Amino acid sequence: MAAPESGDGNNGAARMVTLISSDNTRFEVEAAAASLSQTLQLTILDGGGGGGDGIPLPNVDSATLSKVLEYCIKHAPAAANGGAPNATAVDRAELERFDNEFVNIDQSVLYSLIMAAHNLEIEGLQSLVAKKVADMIKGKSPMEIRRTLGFPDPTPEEQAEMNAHMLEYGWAYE
Amino acid sequence: MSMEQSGGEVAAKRVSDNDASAGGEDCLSALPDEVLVLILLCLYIKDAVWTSVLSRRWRRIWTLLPVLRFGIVRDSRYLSSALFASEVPLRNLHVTDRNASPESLATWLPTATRRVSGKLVLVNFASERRAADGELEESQGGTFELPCFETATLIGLSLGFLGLSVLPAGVFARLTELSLGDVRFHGPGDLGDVVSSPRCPCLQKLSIDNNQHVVNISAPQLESLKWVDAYDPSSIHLGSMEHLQMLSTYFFVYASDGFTDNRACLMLLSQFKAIENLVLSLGYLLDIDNLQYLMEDMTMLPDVITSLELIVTSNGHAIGACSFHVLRICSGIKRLKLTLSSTLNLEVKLFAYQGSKVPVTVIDKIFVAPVWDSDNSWPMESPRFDRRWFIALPAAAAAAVLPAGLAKLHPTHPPFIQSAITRTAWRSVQRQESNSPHEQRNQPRA
Repeated sequence: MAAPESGDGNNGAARMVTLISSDNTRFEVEAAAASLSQTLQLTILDGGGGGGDGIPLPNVDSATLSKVLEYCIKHAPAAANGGAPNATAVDRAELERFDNEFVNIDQSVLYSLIMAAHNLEIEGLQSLVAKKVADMIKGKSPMEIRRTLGFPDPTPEEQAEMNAHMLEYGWAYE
Repeated sequence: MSMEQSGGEVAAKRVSDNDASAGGEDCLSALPDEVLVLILLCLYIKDAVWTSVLSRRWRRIWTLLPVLRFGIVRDSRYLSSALFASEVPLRNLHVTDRNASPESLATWLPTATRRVSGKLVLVNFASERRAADGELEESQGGTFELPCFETATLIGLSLGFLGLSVLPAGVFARLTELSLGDVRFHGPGDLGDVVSSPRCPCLQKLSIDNNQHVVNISAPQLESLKWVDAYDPSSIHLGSMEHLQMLSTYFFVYASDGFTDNRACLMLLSQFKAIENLVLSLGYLLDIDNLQYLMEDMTMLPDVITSLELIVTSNGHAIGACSFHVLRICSGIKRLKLTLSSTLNLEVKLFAYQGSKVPVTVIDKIFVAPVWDSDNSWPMESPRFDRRWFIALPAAAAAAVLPAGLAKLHPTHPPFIQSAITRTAWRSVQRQESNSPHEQRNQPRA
């Protein structure tokens, strides 16, 4: 009944699969980690990705994929445990620490990550990144949000539209 | 566990100072709607609406949200304008109001009927505070009409004693779960009409909390009944419920003499000969020094065929005696779930015992969620829950509860918190506190 210790319980060799990024880099990773992606899970269950063939991921570049896999590898043991009901507080704290650190990255990387997580259907990663971006929006004025998120400065026309719109939804700005 | 590197080291580029993405381009806006919606789902509604000002691209993103949660609403017109803004079906509409009036509700409820395809939760706070101040029984709020939500699957109303009448026509065709708390029904038979099968043909779970009324309920299809309310068989008729799988109610371990809530609980329980699963909440008030131990009043329970769940709100008191009391009566159970309410996320460490036949699950519960909501993005603090009520239950006390035959425990985290019950417990605690200064402590209350 004991929880598998942080996932590297090497009873023989864990099944590996190969993923190929859009720029043709091959990543070999445990099937359990790749299966955090709902999209990949089906292919892997069908026996795909093993041996010489990799699973091509034309929408994900290698930088993003390596980051995605870093997340998957870290979270795979807990996920295998059915959402980690048996995880100790220490394990949970460690994952939380990892997550916080993990999203402390460039906005452009964040956006690539959330797209990849969306395409690959990795639920945990999607909400992790969504939450990070939401935190950048929270409690700021529209102009502050625009600045934080790197929107170009509004044209006078846009500015006028913004002002009109603010009147319409005044209740949200109280 | 190894990853063939190649691109491996590219990834972790740290944030330099607030650099927006290269070239001033707005990459975020390039993401598809559904991804932007995911981001807005993590925000309070106000912040989400706020993003509509950012640019044309963002104008309508928030209207695509399938979940709308309104905190304390200052002006209900805002609610109706938000609900009018699109036709996207809502899987969750959660409104917290203060001093809601029939007029304010009438501005948005009819629009909501068109959009809610999942949960509708309406909590009216202010009157609860009034209630705690001792104006409990005065219902001055007037009566509003609940329109028919044909597509809602769950409705939870905690109305702070607003009056409610239900439009006579229409069928809540998809409603499977209904929770009513602090509702004053306009007509004497209204509650029964609402929850009985002609109006709610699919209703499976019903929770009744502190509504006080006369009812005649005929809901033979019901699978789960939670009753934390007055109960007297002379005025409340529960028709046959042959599909009922789960019965849930609340009992105070200590109270002053003449405490009526426990009588209602016992009378309700006596109506059921046998039940598949029983959920019994046992509550302790914070200060029990001058109160009576009431477990002895509980002399029989329905035959519990499969599982018993004990939800113990200990407030720091030892919970062995009351738990054993129940377990002695329910000797035939196949499964026991013990839920310990506390603020702290306790590591419950319990002994494995040889020869156990009954599997046990222990849940150490974080006792903070508001009502009817399992989405974890909802803020986990509620103004009603005052932390000083929660005292960590020592692990040793948890161990003491278990009958010797019970085995290794698996702490799990419940996705859903038994809100109606906890709310009632709370109110009772507060009432008890505010109503019983020291000189009154020993006087029975009628």
